[in-house]
Parts: sequence; C-alpha cells; structure tokens
Amino acid sequence: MSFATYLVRRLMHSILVLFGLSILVFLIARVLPGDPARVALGPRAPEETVQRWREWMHLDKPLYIQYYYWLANALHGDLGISLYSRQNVAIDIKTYFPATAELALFAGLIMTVFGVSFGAISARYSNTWVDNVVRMGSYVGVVTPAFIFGILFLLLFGYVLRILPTTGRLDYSTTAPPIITGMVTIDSLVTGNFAAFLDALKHLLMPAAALALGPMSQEARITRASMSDNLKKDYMLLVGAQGIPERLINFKYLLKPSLIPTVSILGLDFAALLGNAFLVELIFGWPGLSRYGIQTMLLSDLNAITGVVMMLGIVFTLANILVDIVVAYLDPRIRLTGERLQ
Amino acid sequence: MKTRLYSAILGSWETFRRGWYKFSRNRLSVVGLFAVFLVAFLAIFAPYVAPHAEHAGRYVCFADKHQPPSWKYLFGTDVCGRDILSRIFFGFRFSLMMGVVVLALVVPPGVILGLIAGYFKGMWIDTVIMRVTDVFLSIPPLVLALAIASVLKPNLFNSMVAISLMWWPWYCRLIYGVTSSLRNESFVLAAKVTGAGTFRILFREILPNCISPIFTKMSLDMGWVILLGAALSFVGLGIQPPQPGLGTMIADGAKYMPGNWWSSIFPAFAIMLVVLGFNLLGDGLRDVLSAEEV
Amino acid sequence: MDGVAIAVAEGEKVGIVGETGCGKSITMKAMMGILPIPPARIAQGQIQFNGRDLLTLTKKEMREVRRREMSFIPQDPSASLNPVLRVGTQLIDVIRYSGNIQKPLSKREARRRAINILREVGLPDPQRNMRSYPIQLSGGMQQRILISMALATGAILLIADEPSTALDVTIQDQILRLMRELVERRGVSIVIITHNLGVVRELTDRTYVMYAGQVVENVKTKQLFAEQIGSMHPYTQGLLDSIPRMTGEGVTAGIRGMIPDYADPPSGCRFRPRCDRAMPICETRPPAFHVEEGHNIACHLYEG
Repeated sequence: MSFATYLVRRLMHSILVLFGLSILVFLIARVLPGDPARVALGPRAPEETVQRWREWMHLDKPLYIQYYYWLANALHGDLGISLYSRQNVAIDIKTYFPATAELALFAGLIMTVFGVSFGAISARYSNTWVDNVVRMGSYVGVVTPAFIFGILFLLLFGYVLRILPTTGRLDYSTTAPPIITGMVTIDSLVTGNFAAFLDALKHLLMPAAALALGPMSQEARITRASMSDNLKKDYMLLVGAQGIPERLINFKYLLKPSLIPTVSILGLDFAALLGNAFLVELIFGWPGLSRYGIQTMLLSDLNAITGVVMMLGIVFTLANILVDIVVAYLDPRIRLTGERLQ
Repeated sequence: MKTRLYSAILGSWETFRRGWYKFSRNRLSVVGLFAVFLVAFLAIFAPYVAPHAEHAGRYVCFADKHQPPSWKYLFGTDVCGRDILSRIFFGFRFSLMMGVVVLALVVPPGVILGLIAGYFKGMWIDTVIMRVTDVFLSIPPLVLALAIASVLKPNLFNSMVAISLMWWPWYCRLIYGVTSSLRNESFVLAAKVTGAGTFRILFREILPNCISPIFTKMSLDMGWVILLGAALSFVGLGIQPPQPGLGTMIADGAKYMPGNWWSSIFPAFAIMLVVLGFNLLGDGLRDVLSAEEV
Repeated sequence: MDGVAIAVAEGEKVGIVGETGCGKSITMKAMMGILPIPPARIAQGQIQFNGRDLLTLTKKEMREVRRREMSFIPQDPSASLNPVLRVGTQLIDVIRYSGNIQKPLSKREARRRAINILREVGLPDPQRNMRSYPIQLSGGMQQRILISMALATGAILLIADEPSTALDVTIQDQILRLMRELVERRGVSIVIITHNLGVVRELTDRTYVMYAGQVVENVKTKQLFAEQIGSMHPYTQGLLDSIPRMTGEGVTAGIRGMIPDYADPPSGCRFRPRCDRAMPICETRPPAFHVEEGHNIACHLYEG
C-alpha cells in the first residue's frame, strides 16, 4: 500500500482511538468516583445541592445517555462548567493551553536539538572521555524525574544563585505583549518587544530544561547507539572506501539513517514531556493547562478533568502522527511498504 | 522421579551460574543490583536499622524542627522534627511495596491479553484488545494515572489502583509483539500438528519464550512505577502525610525551600537511587537475557 | 598466515579459492589495506601494486590508493547500499569524487556518466531506476549498481568478495557473466575471493588455492578443471572430487578431518593430518613450491 493510504488509515485509526479515549475518560469521571456529584461538591455540601447537581449533570440517567449528552455538547464546544473557575471548561482550555504549548515546544526543541547533538558528538568521539561524560550524564538525566530537576533548578538557580526567576512567565515590571498566539515569546518577537522576549525566555528556561533533560538524555543515548551501529554497517564501510569526503559521509550517509530510531521515540518522549508538565508547571507556578489540570484534579472537578485529558489526548495523537510522517520521510522503507518497522 | 528433580535443579543452578558470570562482567549492572539490595534491605529492616524509627509514624517534636544535617540526624529533620533518614528507610517500604503490588496486578492480565491478541492476530479479538490498548496508551502515562487517582480518595491503595489501571497495556503490547512473531515458527506448528490445544500452545510453547523480555521489563518497570507513585504522592494524590512516602516528603519539604533544603533534597536523592538501581539492574538483565537468545 | 604469494598481472582475472577460515578474507583485507592492525600484525613481506609497496604508505596515501586505483565489490548487495538514499545519488557521489576531491565533477556530468555506466552493466531503464531506493530493487539489480560503482572510479584492480553468493542461483550466472565481460572489455584486473569452484571456473584465468593460511597451489584455471587426476595438490584434488556430479555414484567423498587450530598448526605440511597420501617427510618439513610452467604446487609429492 502506498504512503497516502497508510496516512489515511492512520488518521482513521486515530479518530477511532480518540473516541475510545473519550469513553474511557468518561467512565473514569462518572463511574470510578462512586458518587460523582458528592465527590465533585465535597462532603459538606447540602444534600439538595447535590441532588440538583445530579439532575443537571444527568447523573440519574443511564450511562450511555449521559455520554451522549456529553459528546453532543463537546462537539459544540461546550465542555461543561468547571467548579474551579466557574466558567466553561472550553474557555479555560483556550486560556491556559498556549502557555503549556509554549513550554512544550521550547522543551521539545531543547530535547531534540541537544539530544541529537550530544548523541552525535558522543558517537564521533566514541570511547573517549567525551563519550564517557555524555554517557554518564545521560544516565543521570534518564533516572532523574522532571519534578526533581525542577526542584533542584529552583533551588540552585532561583534561590542560591538568584540568576533566574522562580515563577510565572514574565516579571511584573515587564510590559506584556498583546495576545496573538498566546505564546509570550512569539508574540513579543512579532511585535518587536525584545525586552519582553528576553524576559520570557528567562522565565521559560528552567521549567523547559527540567522537562527536557530526561527525554534529551534518552535521545542522546539512542542517537549514539544508532550512529555507532550504523558506522559498522557494510554500506558505511563501502562508502568510506569509495573516496567520498568525510564531511559528506557524516552529514548525508550517516545522519539520515541514524536519526530514524531517534525520531521514532520522539513520540514517547513528547508524552513524557506532557505528563511531567503537570508537576513542573506546579513547581514553577507556570499558568498552563497542566497546572490547571492539577488544580482541578485536586478538587475532583470532573468536567475540567475530562476536558483536560481529552485535550491532551488530541495533542498527543497529533504529535504521534507528525512523528510518523517524519519517520516515513526519513526511511523510504516505511514509506514504500506502508508498514511500521517494529 | 527424584533424579529428574535433581537434574532439573542442577540444570537451573548451572544456568544461573552462567547467567551470573555474564551479568557480573558489567560493573554497572552489579552496582544496580547492589543498590536494589541496599534499598530492599533498608526497607525490610527499617524498624531495626533506622536510628529514629518512631519518627516514621505520628511523631512531633517541634523543638527539633528543621534541624540541618548533623550526627544525630544524618539527613536533618523536617518541619515536624522528624528524622529524615529514618523516614526515608520507611519510605522505601512504601516504594517497594507499590512496585511489587502494581507489577503483580498488572503483569498477569497484560501478558494473557497479549498472548491471546498476538496468537489470534487478524481476528476480531485481536482488534478489540489492541484498540483498547491503543486507547489507554493515547495519553501520556502520567496524565492517565493522575486522572484516575484524582477521582478516587487519595491514599496509597488508590494510587496503586490508578497506576495498575494504566500500566497493563505496556505488557500487553510487549507480549503481543513476541507472540505474533512466534506464532508461525516451526515449533508452534509442530505442537499444533501433534494435537496441542490453544491453551497448551500459548502457555507451554510461546510463554516460555516471553520470560526474558518480561523479566527485563519488570525490573526496569519497578523503577518507573515507583517514580510514578512518587509523582502522585508529590501532587497529593498518593501517600498522605504523615506517612513517609518519598514523594510526599519531597512535596512537604518543597514548601520550605530554599532554607531547609535537606527536607526535599535527600528524599529526592533517595528516589533517584531507587530508580537508578532498577535501571542498571534492568539493563544488565537485558544484556544477559537477550544475549542468551542468540 | 604464512607464505602467501599472489600475483596479478594487468588485465588478468585471478581467483582465490578456499574453505571458510583459510585466510582468503584476511589476504583480501591486507591487499586493500583495511586489515585492522591491532589485533592483526604484518610481520613480513610486501604488497607491490602499480609500482609501490603498499605497506610503506601512510594511512592517508593508502586511502587515496583505495579510492582511485582499487575498487571493491562486496558480498551482500542489500547491506552495502545505504537504505535511505536513492541509488542514483549514491552512484553519482562516487563518480563526482572519483577524481580530485577538491574539485569534484559537476552533478550534471556525473549524472551523465552514471547513466552510461548503468547501461553498460545492463540495468534496464537507468534513468528511472536511478531514482529508486535500494529496497525497491532486486538483488541482481543491486549487485549491478555496486559493480557500476566499482567501475566508475576508474580503478585498475577490482577486488570482488564472494560476488554472487548472496544472490539467487538464477541471477548468479547473469552477474558472473556480466563481470567477465566488463573486466575483459575494460582491461582491468580482478581478484575474486570465493569458496565456490564454479565461480572460479566461470570467471578466472588463474586460481590460487589456499588452505590454513597458506597458498598451496597456483594454477591456470583451465588446467585446474581439465580432467587430470594426480597432478594436483591433494587438497585441491579433494575439492574437485567433492563437486557433485550428474553421473556416477552420487554422494561425494568430501575431505576427512577439520581445519587445524591456527594457534598450533601441524608440523611440516599443514594439510598432512587430512591427506591420504601423506609421507613421513610431510611431518617434518614444510613443503616448498615446485614450479612447473605456470603451475606451482606446495607438496612433497611433486618435489623433484
């Protein structure tokens, strides 16, 4: 089958999976708690309020009817009211999503660029001290959870050395740029507000680094392993004997096949990013969707939880499809046979 | 009968010795093993080796609160005056218990579902099982765990339930991969030809080939499950204070940063030790077990 | 390895034959200068090529020699082509840098030459197939691409490692005949490493037989396959006898025994433990070459 067919199939599959996810999340929000209304409103709410809530959320009706109402509303952009913000969850998501997107993109950039570079350097200087330092470092990076990195950074750079700000996206004294994309860095760049741009970067640095270090180490390890393996392959030995200059060999003949495993795990690493964002945003007071998610989760705010999880599911699924497309571009074997090489 | 048992034991001992030889060649793996043993030892014997074992429960001594590390309190004390070192030992108990329980809950169903889906690949049951797996894996793992934990009452047991509910698909996928590639191998066909039923084939022919990847994954997973549990506790959806969960301790201590850094940093290092240990151990196991298959 | 002496004349096609482990790959790597020096070590000898002793060259100079004067045709074509680049790109790169590295050939000119060479090696529809990825091509086509890469550099010596072993039997014949044609037409020399006497017969003028790290016989290929019993080295004779025949008894004899331990080879002649015609002298003294009009045998039976 051709690649276009493969892509279409993938999209269909993803839509199906998202549907399934909505059912799963729905079950989690309605079935697990036992008494969702009581859980949502807390143990001290008067019984009649709870009863009204029950009716309003259709909790007395059979599950599939509840789901139908929820789905119908959701497809119209109405995700229910959040107990935390008193607004429609859809509005909350729109408000907080850009901040998380900005953080995720920045962290993703760090993780990819530095991860691959360190891995390539490590492979090039294989078995020297450079290699050993990178390997040791990447081990530390992989086993240290993002929230611990966050705390360590906060301690070191925020309090001890005092060179980086500890919360928020901008200092109070900086003029914020107008909201175009919602991402402060892009908005300030686009409107020429360089002071804000730099300030925003300073604020982004620690949380993004905390998120990125783990996956970055993972990418470095895989890139290194992949390059080392490929260097021994027959086609690399042959191309060396054929007299093609070394620079071309490294960037064209070695890099392309070596990136394939690296990009393949980008999906999982991105998942780690999105998941860990929940804790990192909390630590750094970053006003993003994940922090909103945590706060609503701690309150058992069912509508918000459902909305946030669905949103993240959609983002993650899109990211995976994107990763698959890039892998297919890199590896013609997948493109042409239309199958995933496990 | 006795000789069969005897030679079976002898055979396994030989395999073990060979495996150990290969394993011990890699220094890092041995370090991992040592770290895991250390943690296990401290966890099991916590009441006896902790210098201030009573601090692990409800204990308050405000006079001693926020003491920096000293000879009396090696890792200092927290806001309630409790010795951090002792609490870390007891925290290991929770961590290990969580890892063991979750894996015990998750591995059997995951493996069985994977076997079935892989063996009957292409039929409706495969599609159903794999789609469900896909759904569970369509959101980042931590998010799912948090979501499940957030609708249940926050405590240790429920955090284990939450993690178990979202961890099983990984085993299902792993075994699915192995099974679907093995099901057309000659030894399976041979078993079929001699009249073996599906059940027999799955458990006597295919499953033994899955043991290596399962064990490798399990030792690596111990670290990740413990980490996930710590993350849940950190947020407040897992082990509740005053119980000494490692994640809980980090969260408690974080409020008093930077001044009383020791109440967060040492539990953080403790978690890193556990995760590192299981990671190294798992890597070492993988090298030994997969090399043998060749 | 001990006492390996191989000579290839200009335009000559030479085969090196021997079972696995006899040292033919090592000989080949030594020739090309890609022997990994620790752990290997060259104790003695020279490699004269095109007027120079290759062992005296620096690594850089040796690389240049490999680039311009020698070419290699590897064993497994599917593993020797970069799977993520188009074959045309790979061939064009080889052509572009086959001359002066500092001033590579223009892409257009290289492309033109590439198409010509591909036609010469019999690749159908070169323009279209150049745009393919290796996975889209059959084994035979891949091997043709590798052969064109080897020829494109303008080398005067081709070294082919088991040139048809990885291919289907039906394609093997095609490729071997193609190689013979090309080599004859271009007047290059070729050294073929193989364990397959059929390849040797098809492709070579002269055959060297190796056993246990030594050359034991050096004979004109035609002579090798002429039905003369008794004038070959016992090992060579054993190899010839092992070829299954269409007529006769069916199951072949084979050569009894196993190759020796290289760390502790047999005294005297290394083949002695497996030789049916061994004499007492074979145990004490290693045989010297007996030269006889283009036919050298290292065997006491023929010492005169």
